[in-house]
Amino acid sequence: MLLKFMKILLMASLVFIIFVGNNFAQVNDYISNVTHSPQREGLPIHIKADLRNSTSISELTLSYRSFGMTEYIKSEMVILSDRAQATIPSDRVKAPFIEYYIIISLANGNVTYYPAEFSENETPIQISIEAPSPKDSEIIILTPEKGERVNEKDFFVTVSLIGVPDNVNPKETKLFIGDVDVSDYIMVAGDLIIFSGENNSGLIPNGINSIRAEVYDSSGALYHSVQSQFELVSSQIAEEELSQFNYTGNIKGELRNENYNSNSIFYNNLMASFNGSFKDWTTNAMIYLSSEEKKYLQPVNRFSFSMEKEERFSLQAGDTYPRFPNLILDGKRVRGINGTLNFGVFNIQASAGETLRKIEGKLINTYSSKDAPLESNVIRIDSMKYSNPFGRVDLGTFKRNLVAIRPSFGSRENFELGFSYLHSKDETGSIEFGARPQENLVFGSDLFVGIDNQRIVLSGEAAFSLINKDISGGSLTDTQIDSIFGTGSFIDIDPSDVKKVKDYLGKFITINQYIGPLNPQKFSSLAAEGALSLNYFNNNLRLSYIYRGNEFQSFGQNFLRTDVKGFNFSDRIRLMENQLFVSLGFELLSDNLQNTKIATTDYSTFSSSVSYYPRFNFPSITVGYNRYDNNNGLSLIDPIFGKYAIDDILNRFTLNFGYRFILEVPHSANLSFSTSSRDDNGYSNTDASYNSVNLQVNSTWTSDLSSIFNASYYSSEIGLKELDFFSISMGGKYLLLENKLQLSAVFSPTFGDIERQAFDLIASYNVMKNLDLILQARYYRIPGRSNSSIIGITAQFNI
Amino acid sequence: MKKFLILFITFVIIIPLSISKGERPKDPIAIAKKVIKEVTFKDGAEKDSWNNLKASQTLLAESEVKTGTKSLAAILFTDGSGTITVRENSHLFIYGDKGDKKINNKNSFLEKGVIGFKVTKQKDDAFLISTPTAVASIRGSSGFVEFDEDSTFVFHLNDGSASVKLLIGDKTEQEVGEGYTVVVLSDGQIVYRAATTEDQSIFNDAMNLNNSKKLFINTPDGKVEIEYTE
Repeated sequence: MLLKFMKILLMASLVFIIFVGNNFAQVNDYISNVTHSPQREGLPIHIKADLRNSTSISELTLSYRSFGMTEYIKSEMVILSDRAQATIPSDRVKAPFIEYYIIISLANGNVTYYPAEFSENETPIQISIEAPSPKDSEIIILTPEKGERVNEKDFFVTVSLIGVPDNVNPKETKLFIGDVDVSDYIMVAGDLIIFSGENNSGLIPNGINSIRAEVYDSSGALYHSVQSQFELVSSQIAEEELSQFNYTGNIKGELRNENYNSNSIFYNNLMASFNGSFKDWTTNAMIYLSSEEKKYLQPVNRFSFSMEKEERFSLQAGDTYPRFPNLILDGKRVRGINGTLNFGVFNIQASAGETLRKIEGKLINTYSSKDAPLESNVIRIDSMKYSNPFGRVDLGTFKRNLVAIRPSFGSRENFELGFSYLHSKDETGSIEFGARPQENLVFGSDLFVGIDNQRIVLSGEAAFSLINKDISGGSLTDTQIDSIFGTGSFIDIDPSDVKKVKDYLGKFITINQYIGPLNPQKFSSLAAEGALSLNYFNNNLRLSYIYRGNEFQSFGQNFLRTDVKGFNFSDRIRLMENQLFVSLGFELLSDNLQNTKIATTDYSTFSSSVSYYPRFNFPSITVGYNRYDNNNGLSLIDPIFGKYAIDDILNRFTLNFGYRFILEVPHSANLSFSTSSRDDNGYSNTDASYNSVNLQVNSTWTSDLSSIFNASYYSSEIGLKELDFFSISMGGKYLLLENKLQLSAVFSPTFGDIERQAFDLIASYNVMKNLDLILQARYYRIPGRSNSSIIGITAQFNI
Repeated sequence: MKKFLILFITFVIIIPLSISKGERPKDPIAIAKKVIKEVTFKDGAEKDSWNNLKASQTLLAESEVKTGTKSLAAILFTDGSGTITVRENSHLFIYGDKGDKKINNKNSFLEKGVIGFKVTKQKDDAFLISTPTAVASIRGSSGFVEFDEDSTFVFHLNDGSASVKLLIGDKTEQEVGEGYTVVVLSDGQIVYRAATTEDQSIFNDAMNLNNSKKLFINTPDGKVEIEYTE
């Protein structure tokens, strides 16, 4: 009864939202749409963003975190033409949800976000993560193995039900391969369900296919279903693959015209990728060349080559994204090489290359010594060449090189101890008009101990950094040290101590008056964190402590939050055979570690979430509540420090429904509500409230036709400023001419305080076996402000 | 006396036979994933005849698999615990007890030949591969076992962890590290050494299911295809 009522309530909500229009969609000037791969704990999430006006974007950074994580992890997105992509690694995908937003760095130096409202309300996008079910391991798809390429001659499906309870009736099992129900052809042998290849005879098409096994109990109710994927290849192809070297690849060329307010620009780009395998070796190569590559910008072109042998050896060259411990190097592009050698007991990872390329500055005018103003962009120049010794310049960017190495001991199954070294330095002579080239040195160590099949995990890492903020003058001589340091001198530090430091560290980093930290005894450039995780009795409990000195910096990690310390506690409790998840988290952080601020701010965060993933035909539900309390203890009425007072509390509630259902045809719906309010009793006194509702329905009408409908509503009130808008997005995909032609179109109007209309059309035609032509058109209109359009044509040749 | 004899025959011969018939394994514990060329098997329930093994053939406990020259069979255990690749000219017995949601006492007895193994991490008991002279206890790993006609036992561990216990000589137990090989000679002498390139080559061959060639013969009845391993 309750079930029926809930279903009716949900459907009523959906209908109400569809027809009354109380919905929300992301409105953004730079990103038109973001899609991500299916979300399940332990599987990576591939996030793809469709860009509009991509030429005005210089960099995109994905910021994400899972429940209970103190801070967002940043990862550079790879921009390829009008699309950007990044992957959240599988070990960071954890139930009940992942939160993310995208930092959009513009070519003009400004920064904006996706969702656009993130700058105001700091509300990220939330993706529900489904937790793995213990029932998954009860039902095993033995053949084909996941991702296996199978010769059609050798093809058969075996599902093992050895782990299911006695109330399961194997004879009622339903087996689907792709869209084909092959249940009538299966044979039951004890715990095995077998679909023999002899029954195939053209039933299953060659190519990538999914397998879905639905297992029912003796009452006829669905017990559980599992899925896998494999590739069926013809005998001819399989025999060709027996030749030792197998490869695939494609070449893609695009011509694109972007028209922004009658300003028309042509772009073109070429991308080629290649994948090959030879026995245990795999190789990948990729090159992307764009007409948007400019000498005065950081590289837009990308190229890479990689080869690896199972998990023992890997080597990447070109644009690489090495992953070292988080404090050292993670998510940063390094143009050079990155390699790993894993022997189990001893392993080593090394990376070397360029993180910034040189961009020459511009000389604006020159000054004599007496006329030169004391400004940051007035620098010493070659007086022989330019007549005067000083010049005002547009500062360029020095070429920055980076070397990182991490030897480690242990295979991380039970134990791993690693030591990291990172050195990064600007090449002082790489440009003529630049100032303050820098150098950075980081030493770190990390430890992982896993006990009882990793049910108890103790992990930690610590790193110490040194940074020199101006190495243009090189290291100091002993005479210079005597004159700069000492009592009554420029810096009150014993010169003999400085000389000792120079003797020790001068081999690694330039030692002069610009090196920091100057107060290492206060741990200002130390970063450390430790965590204990316990996974028992359906509880996943984690307790962690972080410490980040205010001067810690690694050039391999641009986005690390510093000047913070504190505890974080979280527990994810699995109930009702992993159908119900209760997640609780509490964090208490504070800043001002080295007393460099007027007051110490305490940041306390309480997070909670309840998720229900029923095993029967009913929506999944996630309810969340977060409370953020920031306070620095200063009184507003304090005549001197009152203007620095921080005292605000933000409460946020979220509600999310996800439902796959059949109403004549299969639909997948997602409905989310979010409301938050900030009570600001600090000096800025900016009380605010935000509300949003979002509904998305994906429907598959036939094997050739699918549709998407998205409707959303957003309202905010910040101080006296109100903002309300409503947006819908509707479109579909249609396959024609025996699937050779694919048409997709999306229309997205926005009404209210923000008005704009967007229309996207994509037509893809398979001209011949290996050749596809893709036409892409976008029209984007902001009434009274701008009209812009993008038309592109792409040819793709597959080998 | 006659009555006694009848009773004796009834109790001593017929009843135990009927009991053993009742205990015959019912549920398959393994399935043939791939078969190349000449592979025969004796079913665990019907042990009196050899039949040709085909892919997707289920195997009961106590089944035997025999491969001919340039032949191969890949056997999967139904609890997903591992794959055994039986290389040419080998003879393997498969044992295991179907327990509650798992197969207990998994034991593959190699009478002769070479088998490759890829075993997932074992929670409770180890995955055993036995020969007449030694038993390998595997806890999640890959490698190969060879048992020659001269009774030389070779165990190579490519990755994971395992131990080898001798059934002859001083019956010692040797822990085996990744990338190491244990050789037990017929007199019980044990040699523990780093794997050689030859070991690695045998391992690669043992695990490679696609390392086969085809021979086509035109006959009056059409083209005959013979697949064989290299």
